[in-house]
Amino acid sequence: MTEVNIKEIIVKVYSNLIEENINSWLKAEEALKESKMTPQEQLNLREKIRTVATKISSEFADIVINKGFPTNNITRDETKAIISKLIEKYREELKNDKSSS
Amino acid sequence: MGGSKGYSFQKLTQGGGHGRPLKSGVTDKNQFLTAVSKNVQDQIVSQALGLLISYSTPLSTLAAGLELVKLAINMCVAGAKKYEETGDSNQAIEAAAGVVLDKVKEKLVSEVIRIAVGVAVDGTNIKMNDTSRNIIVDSLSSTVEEAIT
Repeated sequence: MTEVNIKEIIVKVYSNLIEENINSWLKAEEALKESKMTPQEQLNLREKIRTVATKISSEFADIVINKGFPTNNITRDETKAIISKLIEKYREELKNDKSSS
Repeated sequence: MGGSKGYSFQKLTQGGGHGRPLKSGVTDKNQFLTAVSKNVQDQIVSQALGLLISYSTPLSTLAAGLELVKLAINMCVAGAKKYEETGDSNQAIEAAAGVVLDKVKEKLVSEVIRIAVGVAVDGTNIKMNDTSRNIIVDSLSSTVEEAIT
């Protein structure tokens, strides 16, 4: 029987989108000019970005599936509010984490 | 892929492209650059997340993404059923396209379509080689783009 794993699809799509945005900003000329990171440090950073993006996307998927997605309609405003809240939550966690600073 | 095409850091900070910087953007940008220059990884990711919600275009893309996921799921369920019945990827594509024409109403970013369609195909249990997969993803992506452009 063919099945579609809805959570997996949501997580992959949103992880990709979030990662794309962060990597895009990181690769921008201005950021690169200031960067003193070695290739290994850049690799570690990319891994960190991927981990955070996946965590946000996974929580996002659980929330929207609990709200009835894909059967129930979830508006863009609702989506925006949910994703903003999650991004802010992880942003605060990272700001408060002194272990890697 | 190429997220920088639509909403690069520079475009956003300069107010170019589709992005519309908010007042907080300047501070976020400076904090982001400081974090990068000091190589404090958590701060870099934190500031980048701050930028993500400070600018309208990336957040709008994320908001629209759920509609695209829904579309891709519907397409792939239809395509996967037909593929299961016939073993014919052409018929699978036609079945998936039928869903698209009924559902799509507005224009979305083409690269986002490809990402969503690609992962949706990966999310099914259809076993196929890379070439077949690429043909299906390309065909589905083109169908969506034609339908919404």
